[in-house]
Amino acid sequence: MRTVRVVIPGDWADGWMYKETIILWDRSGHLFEVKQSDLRHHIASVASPHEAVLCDYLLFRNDWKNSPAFESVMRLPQVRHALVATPPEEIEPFEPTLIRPIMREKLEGYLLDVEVYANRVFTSTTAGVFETRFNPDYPNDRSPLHRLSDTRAASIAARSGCLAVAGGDAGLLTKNIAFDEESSLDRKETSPLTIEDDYSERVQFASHHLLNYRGHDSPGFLRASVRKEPPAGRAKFETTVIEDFDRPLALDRPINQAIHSRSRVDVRDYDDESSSERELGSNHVVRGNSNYQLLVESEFMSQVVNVSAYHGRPVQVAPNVNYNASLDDVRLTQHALSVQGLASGFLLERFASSVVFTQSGASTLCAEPRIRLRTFPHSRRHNDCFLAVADDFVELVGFLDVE
Amino acid sequence: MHACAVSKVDGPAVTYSTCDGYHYLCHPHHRDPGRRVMKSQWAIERKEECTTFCETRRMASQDDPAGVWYIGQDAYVVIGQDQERMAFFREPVNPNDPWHGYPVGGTRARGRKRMPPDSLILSWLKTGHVSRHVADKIRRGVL
Repeated sequence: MRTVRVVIPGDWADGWMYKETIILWDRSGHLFEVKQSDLRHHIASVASPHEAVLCDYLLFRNDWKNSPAFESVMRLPQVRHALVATPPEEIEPFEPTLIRPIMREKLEGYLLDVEVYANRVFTSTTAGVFETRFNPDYPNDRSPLHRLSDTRAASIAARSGCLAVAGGDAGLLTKNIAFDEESSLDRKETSPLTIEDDYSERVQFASHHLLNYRGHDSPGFLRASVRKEPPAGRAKFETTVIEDFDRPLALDRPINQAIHSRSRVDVRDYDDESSSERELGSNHVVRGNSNYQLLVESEFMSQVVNVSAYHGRPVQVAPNVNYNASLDDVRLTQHALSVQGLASGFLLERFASSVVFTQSGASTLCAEPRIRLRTFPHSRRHNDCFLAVADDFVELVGFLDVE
Repeated sequence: MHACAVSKVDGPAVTYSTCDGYHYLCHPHHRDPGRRVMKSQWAIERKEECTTFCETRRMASQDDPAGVWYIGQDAYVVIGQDQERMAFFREPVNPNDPWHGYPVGGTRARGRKRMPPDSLILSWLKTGHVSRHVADKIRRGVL
């Protein structure tokens, strides 16, 4: 696997790639930004031309990387050799003047999770869940920091006009994000949080639906009802907006059935499975998901199961035969502490390493411990790269699956 | 180092006398593979479990009134069968009863995870007992 890395030195707590900006949080709760255009210019000035091109494709324009045009060009031996066969270069030290502060109130508490969506920055800390506006064109427009909840949430996620908050004993909470409430943050009149499930350790979206990781072997699946809205503002496409969620469905038994029968299985209602049955457990544990793909671990095996909820059809799970993990892959994918989605598969946070698992297999991309990993699966430009926070730097890591 | 001496054996339940007069019970629920879904399982021998309790008890802080927390240097040591690297030793309600403990965290979450208090994590970090990456993973509930 060919990789590129761009290192941004500093004592960072987290980061996010949003539109043409890299947003960084320092350890005291302040926000900073790096314009990607500045960074690309810097890379072009210090790296070789082929390394700069790889950075463009693998970090800043993953939509180019995943295009048929790139596949086609990569079939040319000279191009392939120039981009892939040469060893990765050490890109020269980062220019600190590229990092600029964003004027926002300092966050309270220890930063647990972040999400940037629809020109809003959502953060969860040990002191609660917060929201502020962030328009990359006007980064210092001094939007207030609004506390949405006092709940300590280990995980938050936002998509399709909905914020989901994994609030532990406070439950799985959701909130509508109205695209037209431009001034409501100032008036502190944002919509309230709704309880969708009574407990939540972690939450992720699977398409528009929610997966609520409750501490069982498999997450609960909350099917979303959605509506389409016409393009607003400068948007070119209609928008899908989540209206509400059905009650959670348990996936433990259907996943077991789907794996054993190697076939598609309907997911029946939560009540069909008693709590005593769940306590018996299964041989399979869902470690996490990449969109609708669930990474399922059992002893000596790592498998992927798709979950679907098409309009007018029952929720279903089915084995994904495109992932065929070898024993080496299983060794690298087992015991992941957390799993995040990539366009081409999964990013696994292990205790002392970071592993990418795609249909081609598993590869260790960071062999040293990282404090935190961050992917952007709902981004168009950055959906197949990741950001890793280390002790004294943040690195942007891109990769290309090549034999 | 305080020795752990067996004081009572009742089937799979083994009690040790140790640590300045404390008694420690190696609870059979945490050594029963049939209960693995609901009860975390030790991956270390009983005597090592008792020794771990002893070391933890000697260095215990007052951060959690319910008991004391163990984590090895930078969480390097795995002590549970589901990759648990922390343990919690619960203080008995009746002082004459034995203490008991169990692995905490790991990769097979059991819901309503018990977590060390933030003040204790900060103390581990300040004394260099754990590094930033370990402290962050504990706070996020993924270790």
